[in-house]
Amino acid sequence: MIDFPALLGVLQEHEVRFLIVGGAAATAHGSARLTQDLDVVYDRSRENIERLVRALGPHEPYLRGAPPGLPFLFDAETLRRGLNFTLTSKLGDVDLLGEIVGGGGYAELAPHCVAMEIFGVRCLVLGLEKLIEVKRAAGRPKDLEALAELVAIREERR
Amino acid sequence: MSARAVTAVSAEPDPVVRAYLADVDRTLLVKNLSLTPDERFRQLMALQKMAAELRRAGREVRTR
Repeated sequence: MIDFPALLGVLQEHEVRFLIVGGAAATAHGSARLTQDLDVVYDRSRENIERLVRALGPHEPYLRGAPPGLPFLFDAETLRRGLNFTLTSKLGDVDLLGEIVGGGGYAELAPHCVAMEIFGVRCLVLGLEKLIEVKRAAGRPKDLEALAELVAIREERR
Repeated sequence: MSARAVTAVSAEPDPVVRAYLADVDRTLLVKNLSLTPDERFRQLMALQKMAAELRRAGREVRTR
């Protein structure tokens, strides 16, 4: 289970610049679907990567699905050398995404976000229209039901 | 075009999505839209907890 209050709390505490995308963003907009991880797009600036490492480092992030014992060092150098990381941690599963298909990175996505207060943390959440757009751009058959639900949410809001 | 280029995609549902739309349970959405974001995430955490318990129960049955 994801401990959303704790996870969002540590990101805020360390002033990490991030925005919520994927299933958790869909939940924020009213989705009834179960998602098992928190997908965030993070700003790839040097200082933000260091903040991210300070925020999540104490919570033992590790590559999700990797065999135990595989050497993995969650530090700024690792984040700089990579882009997207699917991690498990003591606070739950979290995907750190430098970019997403059809949406780009933090700077490109931020203007399409809405600010929401979630468990006392002011979060940027990808807006419904953009969420629909990136789901469509991803073009994955497994997303079709989720995409239809997002379209239904948009219709119910009108 | 760079790898970071943003693909322009229409937000209008295509016929395939329209077909899936017929099976969306809108009663759940209407209920969720009446909740606050905190309440939506609390509900998700409860669902995650239930899913984990069901997986545990399934594993237990398979290992008997």
